Amino acid sequence: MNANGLHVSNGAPHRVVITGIGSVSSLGVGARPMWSKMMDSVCGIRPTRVTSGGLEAIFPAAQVAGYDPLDHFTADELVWRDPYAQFAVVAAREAMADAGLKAGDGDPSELAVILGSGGGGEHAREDAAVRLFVDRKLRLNPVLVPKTNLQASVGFISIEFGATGPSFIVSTGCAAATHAVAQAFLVVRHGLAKRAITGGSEAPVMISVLQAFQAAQVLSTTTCRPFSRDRDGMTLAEGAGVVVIESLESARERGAHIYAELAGVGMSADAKNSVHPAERGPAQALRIALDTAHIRPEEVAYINAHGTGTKINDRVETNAVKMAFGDHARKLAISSTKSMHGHAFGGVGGIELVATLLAMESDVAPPTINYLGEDDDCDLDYVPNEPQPRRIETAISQSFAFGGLNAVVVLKRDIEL
Amino acid sequence: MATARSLARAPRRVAISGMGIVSPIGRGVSSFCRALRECRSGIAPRTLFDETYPSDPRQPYAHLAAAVEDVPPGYVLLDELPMFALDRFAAYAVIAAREALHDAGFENGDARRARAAVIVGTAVGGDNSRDFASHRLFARGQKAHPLTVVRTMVNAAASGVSIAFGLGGPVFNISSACASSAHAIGEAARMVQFGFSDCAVAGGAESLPAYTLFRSWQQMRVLSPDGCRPFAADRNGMVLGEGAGIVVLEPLDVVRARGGHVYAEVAGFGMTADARDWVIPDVDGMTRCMEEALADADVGSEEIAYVNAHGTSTDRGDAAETEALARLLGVRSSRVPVSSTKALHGHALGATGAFEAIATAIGLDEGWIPPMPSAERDPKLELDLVTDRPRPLEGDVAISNSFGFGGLNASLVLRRVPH
Amino acid sequence: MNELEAIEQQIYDAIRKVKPSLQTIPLAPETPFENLGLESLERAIVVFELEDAYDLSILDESLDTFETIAEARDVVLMLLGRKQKRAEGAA
Repeated sequence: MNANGLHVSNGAPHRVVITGIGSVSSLGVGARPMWSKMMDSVCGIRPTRVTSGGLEAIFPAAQVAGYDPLDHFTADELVWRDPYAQFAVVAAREAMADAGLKAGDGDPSELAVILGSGGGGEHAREDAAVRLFVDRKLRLNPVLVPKTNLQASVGFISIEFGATGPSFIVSTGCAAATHAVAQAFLVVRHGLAKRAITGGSEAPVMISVLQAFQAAQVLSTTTCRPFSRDRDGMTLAEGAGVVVIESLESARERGAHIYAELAGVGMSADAKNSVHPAERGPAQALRIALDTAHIRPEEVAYINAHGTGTKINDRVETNAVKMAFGDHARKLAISSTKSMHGHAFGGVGGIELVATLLAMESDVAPPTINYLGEDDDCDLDYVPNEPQPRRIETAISQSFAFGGLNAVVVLKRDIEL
Repeated sequence: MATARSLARAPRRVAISGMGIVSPIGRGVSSFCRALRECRSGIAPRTLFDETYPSDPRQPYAHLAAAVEDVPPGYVLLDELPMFALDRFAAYAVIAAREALHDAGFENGDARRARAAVIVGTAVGGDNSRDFASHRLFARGQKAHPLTVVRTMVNAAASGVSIAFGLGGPVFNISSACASSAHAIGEAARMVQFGFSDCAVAGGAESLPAYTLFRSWQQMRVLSPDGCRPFAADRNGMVLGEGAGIVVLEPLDVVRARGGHVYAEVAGFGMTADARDWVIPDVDGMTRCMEEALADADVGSEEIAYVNAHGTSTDRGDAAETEALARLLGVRSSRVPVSSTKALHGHALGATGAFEAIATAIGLDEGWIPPMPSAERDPKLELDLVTDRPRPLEGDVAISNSFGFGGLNASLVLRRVPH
Repeated sequence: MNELEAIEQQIYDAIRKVKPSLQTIPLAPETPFENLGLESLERAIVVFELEDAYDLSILDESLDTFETIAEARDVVLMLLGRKQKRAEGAA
């Protein structure tokens, strides 16, 4: 702090820990209910019918289960909150409560809100498109501006918890939440805020998004089978994963429960192709993450993969992991929980981070389900179909987005306080 | 490359070593500056929709806006990205980045490119592509174009810049409404400051919202039908703009060591949220943001020689910002030169912060304050507005504000660096 | 229900669409919008709903400055009258 009581970062890095988790996904509302389903290898992906503007489609998708908006918001609030923002708020509430924090705890300027989302209020956008192009009503509802606003999730959470610290959205598609967590890590590490609410949310299960991804030829017509033979693509999902991170000093001061230390982050870009990944980029992000975390590759016991289930991603990701880990790649467990909760784009990195933390807490690697057998390009231990007990002191969660944008976070349990 | 060791290093001073811009008042930094010096506005009535398919319910309509003239209409095919034509917002970013990288001396094949970070701010993203896709799907019942995702994705600008120039460091996009590009530049400066990156390409890009969103903005009652007159007595709303502004950030000592040009130092960055209301601007949030930026720069408010205001020309926004400046500057508040260059280039949402950082940096480097057209001033707002002609910038420190819709704020403190 | 009352009901519906919690509050023509806690953006949406319901141009005519429900009703009535006259003139 300087003489005016304003925090001035002097560069001395703080250690960063995770003290609260929350999630909303096709495996239910709540992080622990989700984990419980993961331990039972439950698949949240099912044939889903969506209709809009006279168009209809049935396709495999993973919509949030057990969620009634009126359980969480008033009717007045719902006028303004696209589902993507709703999911973020619900997950943030759970994470803050889990961390033992309420609105008004601590200096509000020391609480940052940095979240990911790929598209923000897509439902609102589609409703407006139907109104215009199908119903042919030319007048546009001004509610479209705040409701499609990409920053809405951050705005609502910052208002609800009175957070006046650094706040923004990171929007790197499939990697958005992981990039957001990496940014939040840097903010807390360098003393720009003591705590951060971070992660991401997305609500993309609708016709227009389905069509766009179908046209890019990346969607499965069956289910999500990461790393498996006969895999045929990703499946759309909705949901949110949010965590509370804070400086180690702050956590210690209030005796908070610590899930793990957020020990390091790595980010890189392939700089090559807009859709198809290259190994070099993800391998570099992995190396940087391990380096910033002071961790040797051999120490990593579990990786929560990006593992979307497309032929290309899973092959390239496998190669990138081999490049970064050498022989150890065959010894660690690497699974894709997308096989259970689906690909919730800008929210999925948050959901996967929550799953990874619970894997570390229980020393069990969650499975990659729907796995039919080994594929020529993918020959690592993907924890096929059943969860695998193993000691997980150090773990990684990684996300590799369209446009070649990569983000990796490294987590360490059993840390010296 | 960022390493554990470099993260523990003492913070480094951050310099702007290259700049590039595509704007409604000129493509390229020298054109942009010429227009600023001549107080020439790019705001004019525009026909904002003129394609008519038989199936299309959209009607041509005209509205006041600040549009980019020097880039051909429609999708843009660029040499660096021959694979496919880009949505305009992404194309603007690549064109501006091309200029900025060249300006900083990062030519093709330069080894530093492989590790450079890219942070581009965008509030809306590929809106033209979105409307095109919606029309195709719902009005014509046609399958989506294969490039729909890569064109509409909000990170298309960041990815486009990364792919076009082989920039392989941390690459991502930031969205915080009107504060997006200021946040992007600030966050990029932080990464260089703390050694996470040795070079960052940062800024913002936005195209004018397409039919659906633009008409919704119109219906919100915040757009002016007749002009952008920040702080004026008869101000009645904002004028939307578009374009991209990109800066190259490097450690100051590295640029100096190679004899490179430094436009200005990014000396401080403040980032706050109001946590109060969506639309009503919050004086406390704005004030705190500027105070944080000054504290970060270790500079007192008495050193501020110029304020590039957020100044969107809305009734409440301008009043709130004036009050915040009064709190920040105390008795000096009616004597510190202020201008809002939005009067010339419009409010380009996610790109505006970058436009304004560039205008401020040039001002510090060349010693002049960009003016805005004079208008009957609001007697309630006691500010020393710089109008019609540039004024000498007497001092070394300036602050540029971006106070976003939804209460997300950013302030950048830039400092002149002697040659 | 006469025409005035029909328009008033439409306005009540528009308000309650923007703020569902007002379903349980009795509304009357004299009620000022301010008393209902409608912010500027919420008011803009009410205007939109009325324009949509009646296919009128309130915003473009700068007639959206009404303070009470009765004033809003009168604007709608006036615009509907204008629209009808134009239609008759054209016929």
